[in-house]
Amino acid sequence: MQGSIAVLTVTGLLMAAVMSERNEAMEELRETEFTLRSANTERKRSFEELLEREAALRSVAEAIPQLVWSTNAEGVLEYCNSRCCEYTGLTQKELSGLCWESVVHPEDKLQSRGKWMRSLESGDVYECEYRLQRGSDKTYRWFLSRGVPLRDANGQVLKWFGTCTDIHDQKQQEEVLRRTEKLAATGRLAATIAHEINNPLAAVSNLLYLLKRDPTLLPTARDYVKLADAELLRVTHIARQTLMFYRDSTAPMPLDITEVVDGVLALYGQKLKLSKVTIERRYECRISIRTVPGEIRQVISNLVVNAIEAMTGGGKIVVHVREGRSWRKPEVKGVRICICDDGPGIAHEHLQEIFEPFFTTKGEKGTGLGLWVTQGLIVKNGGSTRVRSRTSGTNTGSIFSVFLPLEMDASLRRHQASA
Amino acid sequence: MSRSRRSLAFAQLHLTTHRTWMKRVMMFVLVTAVYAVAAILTLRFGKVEGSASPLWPPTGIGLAALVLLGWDMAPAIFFGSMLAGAATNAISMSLLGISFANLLEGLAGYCLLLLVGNFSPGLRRVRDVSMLLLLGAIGGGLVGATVGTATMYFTGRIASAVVFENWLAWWVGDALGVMVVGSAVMVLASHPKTKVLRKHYVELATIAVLLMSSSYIVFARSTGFMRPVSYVVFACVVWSALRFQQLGAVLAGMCATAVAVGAALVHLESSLTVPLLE
Repeated sequence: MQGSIAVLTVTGLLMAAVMSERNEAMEELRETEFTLRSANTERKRSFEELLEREAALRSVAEAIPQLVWSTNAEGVLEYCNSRCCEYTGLTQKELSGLCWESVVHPEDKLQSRGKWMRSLESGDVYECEYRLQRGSDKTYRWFLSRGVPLRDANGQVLKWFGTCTDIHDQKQQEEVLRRTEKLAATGRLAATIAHEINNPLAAVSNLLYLLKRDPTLLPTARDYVKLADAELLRVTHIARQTLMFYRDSTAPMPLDITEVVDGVLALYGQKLKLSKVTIERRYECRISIRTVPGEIRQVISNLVVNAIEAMTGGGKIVVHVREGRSWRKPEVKGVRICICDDGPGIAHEHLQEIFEPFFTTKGEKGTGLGLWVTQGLIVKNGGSTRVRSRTSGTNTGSIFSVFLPLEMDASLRRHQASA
Repeated sequence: MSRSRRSLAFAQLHLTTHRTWMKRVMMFVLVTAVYAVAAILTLRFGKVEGSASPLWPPTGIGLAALVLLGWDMAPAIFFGSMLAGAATNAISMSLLGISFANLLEGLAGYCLLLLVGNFSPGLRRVRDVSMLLLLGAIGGGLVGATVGTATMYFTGRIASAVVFENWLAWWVGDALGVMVVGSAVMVLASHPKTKVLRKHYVELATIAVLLMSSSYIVFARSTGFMRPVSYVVFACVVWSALRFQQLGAVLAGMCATAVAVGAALVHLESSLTVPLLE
């Protein structure tokens, strides 16, 4: 009996213990399964989030104006946004590998490749400025390319991400600013010289006056003195005109256009003589317009100089001033100044580009800024410009027509005042 | 801290300590009483004339008290044993020796469990059941039976011819006491808030009825053609253990044991159909 009781009790307890252990194991298994399922769900969610984030990043990469690219650790292109393909006119497959170098300006290839190789070796940030060829018109534009490495926990470079930002306009503006600064310095120098020679000129003028009044002076000598006085007067006039360029007010004021034209023509009188260019003035009206004198003087000066330089073997410039209406807004009255020359004319294909900065047909002599500045000043004063030119036939030449309104637009005035 | 507050804190600490001590003393008294009552009842109703009791529940109670409440309950075993002996016989050297043997038995089982370590009285692991069987029941019982039988022999209470028989009966009775009663006390104390669900009431009743009736048939009226019924007892114990786990196992074991011991004691003098040491 005791054996049976012992066996019964022990069996029962062992069964219960086995059940408890099994239940605990099941519970642990359930917990593990739950943990695994949670981890799996979490992993799935993370993966989906990752996909969403990647899609968002791709959208951002597609939306921004920069060319976006990524390469592997060896520098082989893996991704570029559609802007890259649009700009270069190449597919992503064509751009991969080293084919992208085919769109880099030949002069910049060596520098950009060297910097890129150095960055790949050192893992430093890549930064380089180079010109990339635009697929649509095969022109080159300046780009600032920047690439940063993506590293793993051990610091090993996994990928490179970068952008190419179009800095062409910025570079051109910098160049314009640089040249403008140079011109301004030259202007200041000229004004200083003009100012400094004014006093000796006055002294010489007084001396010539006294000489003229001398009764003992021989008639021949008197003629020479008169000639010298006339030349001195011209020098004085030139010096005054030069100073006026520099000291002109920037505020709009009533201005007689014909006076400005006369002043400019007087300034370039010697140049006209040397170039064997004659001037024909056709002033149909004497209208006073309200504008910034210095700027209008600059406009007419640029146009006259261009006309003189266009006629290498001499010729004739006609300056026509008359009343007119705006081409765009016929209700706006103003004055129209036409400067016509009978030079060789401007080629048709260049007519679209002559107002672009740095475009010049004068070679090393020209800066390519004159007409660009002229256009800017005319627009600033509420006016507009038209050009007609003929390069073939008997009557070749160019006509630059400038329309200036009687009054500047209120908004333009406010803008100028604030500036 | 102000003086009054400090005094109050000290008083509270003193009160807490005092309460803890009071609690321990009360537990000690309770263990002594339970041990003594269990021993008296076993000696009065479960003692077979001329032999040791087939089941000695006080051993299980003593070991459970040590495991659950700590070693400082050990003297309660001694005093409980002394009280029970004094209630049934006069105080003598043999009673002192037997009480000492019971004390040693409990301490031996407890120390063995403690030495091997990581024993859990909830008996949720096979390891715990095995430890209780091998160390608590067999190991502790061995010490108690040896010391107790030696005492009885040297005080002249048993003859040398029955020393081994007495030693064996003592050992098996104590081991059964640990396995049946001790495990039950430990499990009940470790699962105080275990509740049987309403939907399991019918199942519980079915197991109880089947177990008790089959135990009665097997242990009280067992004849040749009734032998297959013994499997029902096993089935019920297994069923109970699987459904109600430790609680079910110990309760089923206790029920079957109660019926078996009762039946054995009732029929012992007349026919003794089931031998005590089977």
